[in-house]
Amino acid sequence: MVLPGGLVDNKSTGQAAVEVEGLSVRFATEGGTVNALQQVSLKVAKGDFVSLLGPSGCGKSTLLRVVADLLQPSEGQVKVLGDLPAVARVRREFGFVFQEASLLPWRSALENVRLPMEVGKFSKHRATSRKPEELLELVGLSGFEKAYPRQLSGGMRQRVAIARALVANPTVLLMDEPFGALDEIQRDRLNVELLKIWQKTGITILFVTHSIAEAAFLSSRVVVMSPRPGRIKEVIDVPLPYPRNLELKDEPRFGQLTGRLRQLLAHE
Amino acid sequence: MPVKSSESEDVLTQNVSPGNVRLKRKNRARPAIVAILGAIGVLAVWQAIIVGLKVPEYLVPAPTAVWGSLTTDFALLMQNAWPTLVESVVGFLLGNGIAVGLAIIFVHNKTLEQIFYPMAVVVRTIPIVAIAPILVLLLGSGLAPKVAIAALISFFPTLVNMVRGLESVDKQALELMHVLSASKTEVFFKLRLISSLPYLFAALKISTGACVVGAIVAEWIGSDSGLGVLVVNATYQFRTPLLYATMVVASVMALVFFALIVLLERLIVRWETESETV
Repeated sequence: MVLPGGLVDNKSTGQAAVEVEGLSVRFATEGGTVNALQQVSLKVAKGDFVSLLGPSGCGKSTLLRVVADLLQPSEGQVKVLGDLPAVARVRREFGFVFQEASLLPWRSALENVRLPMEVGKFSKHRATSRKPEELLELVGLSGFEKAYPRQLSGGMRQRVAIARALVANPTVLLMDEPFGALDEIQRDRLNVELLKIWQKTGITILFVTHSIAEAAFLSSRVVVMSPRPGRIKEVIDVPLPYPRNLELKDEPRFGQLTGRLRQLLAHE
Repeated sequence: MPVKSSESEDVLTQNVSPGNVRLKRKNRARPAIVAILGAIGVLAVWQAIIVGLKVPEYLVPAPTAVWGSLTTDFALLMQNAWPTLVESVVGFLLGNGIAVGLAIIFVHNKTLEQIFYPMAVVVRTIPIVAIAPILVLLLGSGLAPKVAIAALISFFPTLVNMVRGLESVDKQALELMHVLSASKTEVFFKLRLISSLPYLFAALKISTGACVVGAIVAEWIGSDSGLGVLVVNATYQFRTPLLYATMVVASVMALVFFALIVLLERLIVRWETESETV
């Protein structure tokens, strides 16, 4: 496994950030039962950047939502830092970034970042937190503290959402196609910045995407998934060293990697 | 706002930059000017027709005659406007207050909503002029039946809109609150209540006119003062300019009321850019 050098200080404890064991999720629909996930097992080590890559219907978002306690498993179990998702949620062990920034429009950027500290008995369950002002600086938005969501571009709104997810100083960051609604230029820019944030904070990231290039560029490991029923096809260790920059995308080894991922996705 | 980032060009949506604000203001003033000029035009044509065709005053008074009544009968008009104003305002506060309270209960208790919401809808279909005599019989001829009718007429739009507003919360925002382990109370105050405000104000704006109408209708049925009484008396006494003047006073009252709510909305609901629905 390729890990960024010197960034993961707590890896030696051996405890996985996210542990998925024999997870199945079934939905009842009009056309019968849908196996969104069938017998999925996965371990995400602390400090890892893991992408869940696959076509729609492969259960990648479902998996992320079970980890975030937004969905209940039908079978199997999921642990976040050794605890059930519901327990980890109350303790704010993870932050979540949705596809839409879902900022509260009546709150300024800074007030949106502060929201997690104002609800759910935050101080009782979480000893550490980060300064909202510093987080806005981390995501490149210093000077925009007082701006309202409607005054910000889509990319900037998503930056605020990332800052909000980091304010509780969580160990794990769960991201559900966070840049899916952005244009490619913005997406590239935010990919680079996300890697910087990841390296600065040493946080564990579980990232859902349907973009092969995005998964290859960001991740230390890519989990390739396939649909009907949703399952893990293969887990690929990405042999590209960090720090990575956009020029990497033009190198042959990057092309080799995306080619391999594409092949895996083609054979269902 | 300091603009430091390299992204400065997509920082501010275009209508925030000073140049465009000025442009927008100019555009906003234009319809107002057109509307005023239009009103003056209509009044002038009206005056010309009445004078030109020698229409008798008791049938349709000229604008100047209405103005004459407004000035000479000013004391009488104000004396009767006061009770109507009190009834309207108290009715407005009471009706909307109960509606908001009920909407909050409905959103938290589905069973209660299933019992009472259909009932409210049925009651709503009964015309207010039919309910008014019942309430006068029940509550006497004092302030109470007028307030009750003004309240009733403001009640329904607010109940319907507020329930809709409280339930139309962004699904992803609710999921966010779940991930943040927010309690039901926190979700209500930090999310539901605030996102329902545009819906509430839309209903309140309808209520402003409706509650004045409710108070006047109630006064027709049984009262010794108020604009409703003045309407009835002026009609029977063929004091048509006074009748028109009374309508002007009632209309101005509703307009001022409406303007106050719009002002309040602008102060509170600042995040909605396109909330101007009149």
